[in-house]
Amino acid sequence: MNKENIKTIAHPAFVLFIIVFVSVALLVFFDGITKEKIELINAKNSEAARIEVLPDAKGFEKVDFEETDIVKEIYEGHSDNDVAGYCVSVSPKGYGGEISMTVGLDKDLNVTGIKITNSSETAGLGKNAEKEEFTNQFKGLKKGGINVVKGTANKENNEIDALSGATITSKAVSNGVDEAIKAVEKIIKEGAAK
Amino acid sequence: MKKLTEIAKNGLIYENPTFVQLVGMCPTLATTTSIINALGMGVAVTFVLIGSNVVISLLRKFISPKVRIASYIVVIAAFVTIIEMLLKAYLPAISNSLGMFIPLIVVNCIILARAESFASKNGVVESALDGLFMGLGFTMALAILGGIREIIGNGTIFNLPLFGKSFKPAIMFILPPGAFITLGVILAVKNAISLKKEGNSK
Amino acid sequence: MIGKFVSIAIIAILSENFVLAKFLGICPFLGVSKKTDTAIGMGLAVTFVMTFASILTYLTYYYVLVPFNIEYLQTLAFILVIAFLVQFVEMFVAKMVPSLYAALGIYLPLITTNCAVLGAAIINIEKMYSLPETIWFSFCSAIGFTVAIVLFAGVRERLENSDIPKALQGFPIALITAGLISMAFLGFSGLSF
Repeated sequence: MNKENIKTIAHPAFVLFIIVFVSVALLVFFDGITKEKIELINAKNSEAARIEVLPDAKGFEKVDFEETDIVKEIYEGHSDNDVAGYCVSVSPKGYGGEISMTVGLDKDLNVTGIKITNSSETAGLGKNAEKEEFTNQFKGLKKGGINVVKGTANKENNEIDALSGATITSKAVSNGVDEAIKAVEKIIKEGAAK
Repeated sequence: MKKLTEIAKNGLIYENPTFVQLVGMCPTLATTTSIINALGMGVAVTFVLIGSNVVISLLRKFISPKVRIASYIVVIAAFVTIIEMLLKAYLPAISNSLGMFIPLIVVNCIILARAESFASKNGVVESALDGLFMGLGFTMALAILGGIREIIGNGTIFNLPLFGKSFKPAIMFILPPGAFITLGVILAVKNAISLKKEGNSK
Repeated sequence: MIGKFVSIAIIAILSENFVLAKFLGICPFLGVSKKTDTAIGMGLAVTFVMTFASILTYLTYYYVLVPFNIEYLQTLAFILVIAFLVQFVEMFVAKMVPSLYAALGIYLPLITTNCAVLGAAIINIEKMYSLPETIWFSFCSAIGFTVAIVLFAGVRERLENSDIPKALQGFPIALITAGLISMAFLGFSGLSF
């Protein structure tokens, strides 16, 4: 290899290598600064969601169980040495992908509240599922399957009103609640068996 | 001073990335469902543009033409990842709603185009200004598009309701077709205005 | 198993079409769609690169980034992988299959900055697809891209010969047409198993 070759090949490659090296070093540095903060925000959000859907609980304890496609995490809520209820993280499949949500249940498996923490549903349609007008409908519903109807919901019959133009999202959310109830029911049964 | 006004005018009007150059269309169409998303995207792109323009201008004498595109891409990707981390840590709501379009800033042609056609040939200060004004021009265009789509498609602006409860927004405008049609109509109006001007000057 | 693959295909090609519903790959969609032939060429080039890029980025993510706990370098790593892949494919095709190069050559360099390719790579990781699902999803998404760009080019060819108001000529009418096609594709929305 003559001198000319070294200059035309090695030099550009070296410069490129330096640029990559410096860039990676910078990113490692910024990751160090922001990592804790991002984890804190995520932890805080899920804690806040748990408190919101199960306000009676004073503390939460993670429960071991078999994860499914939809049910991701279960927490047992305590109030003064007594079980106040359960918080279940579920991610049913909506229209634009998975909907991450937390479902609060009391000891008798009645819904105490739900909170959608992240969804990529269509803005103005499915995204409205995150609003309280929609999520509040679920409070007080029971096990045995929630029905999604259009504009004529009756709580006594375990029904909710679908969002206009977003039936798929509405069904996905109610499906998430159903799955949460089933998962907790199973845990309680297994606990009683022991 | 003359140069500053020239750079500013180019970025905001004569060479406006969106309305004149028609580059960076993916985020333009995808993230303008509301004015807040549009501004978030615009600011993120502006940050990356200034950063990459400055660094590439500084390095322009060291980077040989053979590896220049690869070098530019690495610099741009580094800035994009930095803004992605910062948004996640400090503005999680915006980071959530922009989603994958933040990492996709890497392949936004406007940034590579400015690096190639401006920053690699000009000094640091000019390059920084070029990045700033191109970014502002982009942000402005996105805000106009996002504003129109949010008002018609959702009946709100900055999430504040504009009309009474009986108003039914034309949801189509915040769905994908609305993005194409709104931008098409804006460009048509722009063309109509410049055609009229030409007609007058004849 | 097969059900999942059918469902991925329908989502990727119709209901969540990359161009018309997700706004990925808009630049070539608007730029290289004046003629049906060039649109088909671009579609093929994208299909080729996107499928390979997804395999490589999948391997990069799960066998390099995850073991070293450096997932935050994802964007940087993916774009470098794609850039080198495109360069390599260009050299390889030029040497080995000159006829293919003559047909696709001019589109290849444009693909590095086609956000559909990086977009597909990111979605594969986000949705936690397995390797076969990754390959299938990327391939189908690229087919979706090709369908959209060829349909659009067909409409634009006819627009050439129509009498259009001056202010609407060029991009405005193209965008409005794209809007109408996208509206038609909205009809597929919610079509999934």
